[in-house]
Amino acid sequence: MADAITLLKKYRAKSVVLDANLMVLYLIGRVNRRRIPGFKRTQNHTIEDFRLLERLLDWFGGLVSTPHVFSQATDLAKPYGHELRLVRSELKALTGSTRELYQNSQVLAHHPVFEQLGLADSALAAEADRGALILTADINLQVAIERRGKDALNFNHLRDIEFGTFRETACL
Amino acid sequence: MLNGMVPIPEAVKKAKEFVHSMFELPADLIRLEEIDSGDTGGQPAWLITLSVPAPTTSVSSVFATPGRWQDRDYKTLSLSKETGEVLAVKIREFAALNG
Repeated sequence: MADAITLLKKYRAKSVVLDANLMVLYLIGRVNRRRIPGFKRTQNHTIEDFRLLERLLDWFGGLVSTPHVFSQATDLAKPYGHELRLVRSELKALTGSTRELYQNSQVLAHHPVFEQLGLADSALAAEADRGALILTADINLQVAIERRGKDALNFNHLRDIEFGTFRETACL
Repeated sequence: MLNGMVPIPEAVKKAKEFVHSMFELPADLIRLEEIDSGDTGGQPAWLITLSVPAPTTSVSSVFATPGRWQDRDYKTLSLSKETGEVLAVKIREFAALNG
């Protein structure tokens, strides 16, 4: 497994693929970062995590995604009230600035990770197969991709460094 | 402290201290892998997965490929969101993939 710093350097300015949960963190943070600790889908994150995610997106220089991730993020990022409209507006802007990749569900359903992780994660694993870096906070997805000898960056490894609970030289 | 909850960074620190003392592992080898929320024994809990270097038990494990993911053992600790007390520890395992 390549360590987090090695992956950061390897993929600098080469774009990154976010999983749906991190896309939700990004959307909620863009609309109202103070909502992050109290919103069900982002309660495992902090405002500092959102700032770290923004820095990472700057570092990688662009976002790549799949229709499955956008669809999942749309379903998960549903705050109450007027913020829902703002989230949808952010998502709309994100679709305009993101390179979108697509593979048929029929193909993805035959991917080795499909039975364990489902369609959306199969799409991410398939992009990792094609040379993309996947950024995820989901260890099941990260381990599944690494078992295939591909690159997945665990967001929590970077949080660990940011929290000061893991010793590694950060380079962001 | 948000609404009386142990903040996430503090919970991670407590989880690492527990693994450090319980398993006598150097603290700087214990890595954060995942943070989730859940319920343990009726208490709201942080579910913190940490990894530690796996002991080498056979020559074949040294040559295991690809990705060397086998190099670490994973443990999920459940910590009370209210007190930070460790409520449970479980070994985290990953299902085999098809193909």
